[in-house]
Amino acid sequence: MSDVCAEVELLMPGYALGALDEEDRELVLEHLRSCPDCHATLADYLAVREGLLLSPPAVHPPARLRQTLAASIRPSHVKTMGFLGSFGLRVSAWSGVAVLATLLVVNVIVLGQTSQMLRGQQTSLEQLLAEQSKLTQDLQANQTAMALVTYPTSEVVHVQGDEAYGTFVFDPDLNIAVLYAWGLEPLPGDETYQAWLIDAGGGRTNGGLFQVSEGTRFSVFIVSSSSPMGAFRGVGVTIEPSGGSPGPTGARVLAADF
Amino acid sequence: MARGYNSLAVPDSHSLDASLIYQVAQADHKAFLLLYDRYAARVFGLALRMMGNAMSAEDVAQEAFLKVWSRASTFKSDRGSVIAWMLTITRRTALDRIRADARRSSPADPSDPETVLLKIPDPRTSSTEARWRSLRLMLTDLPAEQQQAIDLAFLKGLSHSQIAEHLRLPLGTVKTRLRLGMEKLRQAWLAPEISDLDRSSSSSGDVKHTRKAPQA
Repeated sequence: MSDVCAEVELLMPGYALGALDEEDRELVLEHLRSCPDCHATLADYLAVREGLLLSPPAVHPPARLRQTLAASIRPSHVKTMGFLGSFGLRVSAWSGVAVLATLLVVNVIVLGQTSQMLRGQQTSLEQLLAEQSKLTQDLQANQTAMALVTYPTSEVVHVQGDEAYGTFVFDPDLNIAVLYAWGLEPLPGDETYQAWLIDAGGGRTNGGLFQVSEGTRFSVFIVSSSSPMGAFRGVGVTIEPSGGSPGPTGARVLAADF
Repeated sequence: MARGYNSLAVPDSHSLDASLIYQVAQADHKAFLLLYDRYAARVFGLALRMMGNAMSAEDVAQEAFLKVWSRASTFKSDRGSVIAWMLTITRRTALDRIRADARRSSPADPSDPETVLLKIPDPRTSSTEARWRSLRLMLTDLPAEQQQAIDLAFLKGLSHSQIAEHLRLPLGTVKTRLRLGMEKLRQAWLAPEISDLDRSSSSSGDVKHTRKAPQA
């Protein structure tokens, strides 16, 4: 080891930490250009510096930081995702927000009218509890939909049928989605609506059962699956016997391609 | 034996990070948020340690992540791991703020060791984890005056002479404390490798001059 190597090696820790004053730094820089051994020593100290970067304990930041960053990196305008399928028209997430906001207002009005009607007719406590349960489910569905729409990669697809129509809000990486539908008729007690998720091979996966309340032609429903929504290429709704079916057997009333 | 400059993350994690940073460079929002979810606590933890309060740390973390978003295409995997790159950005961002707060100038320094190109091999040795454990243990065992000198240089961005002024100590004393502390950390980092080297040297007799025992 040369005398210069010895001198530089003494300064190397400070160099790795960026703590050298100008004169010392120039000396180290000049020597490093021609000394592989000191270069290797510096690599050790730079590794130590990396260790120092990791030495503070990990601390989770406030949740708002993630929200702020997500909003900051979101494009100022969302492009319309032009896709016309046999049943569906894909729209932007912002359009979805507007649609959902409208839906929420409609939902509140309809549910409010329903509550008034129930009070006016002095319906039974059981009916009120059932309505409350439905309201809670609707609220959860609305909150889920709003949460989905705020996610940068959420998508909104229009679903369409002969007599009914609506929207399907989903994120390809999540296992839940929300279906809004207008125009579905209440079914007799021995029948139910059943949602199906359609994979690329045409296979149908059960997405859940739901009913439409008497007196309203608007319904909201959380569709769930064991696989992320991105594993599927479409969604459909059929009328099935009460309790649901292992595969679609009844008439299709809504459908959409992703 | 080569050293693991970019071995902060385990191999599988390294591959995932490289994939994520590539997607971030393509303006993939979800990849960015995944990267955030993986390392926000590390970034915020470092920022909190450097800034000393949560509000400033949050500002630093936010700025650092936005730099990651805008500079992802400049990341070079042959220079280190993604997390090391992100934490380096975090440190520099924090230092800029600390210096600004202290009304000191903080011009871009092209000779800063953080910008020096070093192509260091990534061995992925089995002793990587042992090295980091050893390093962290040594950090807690350093004499207080050596730890203080390292903290002032690393966390506050002070130079030798600024540390000497801050602590009212002779410049030589500061240099010595910093060197002794860093040398111990370096030996802790090399310890598993030295064990490997000793095993191989017993048969080959080949010892590099940079692998000497600690002098302090």
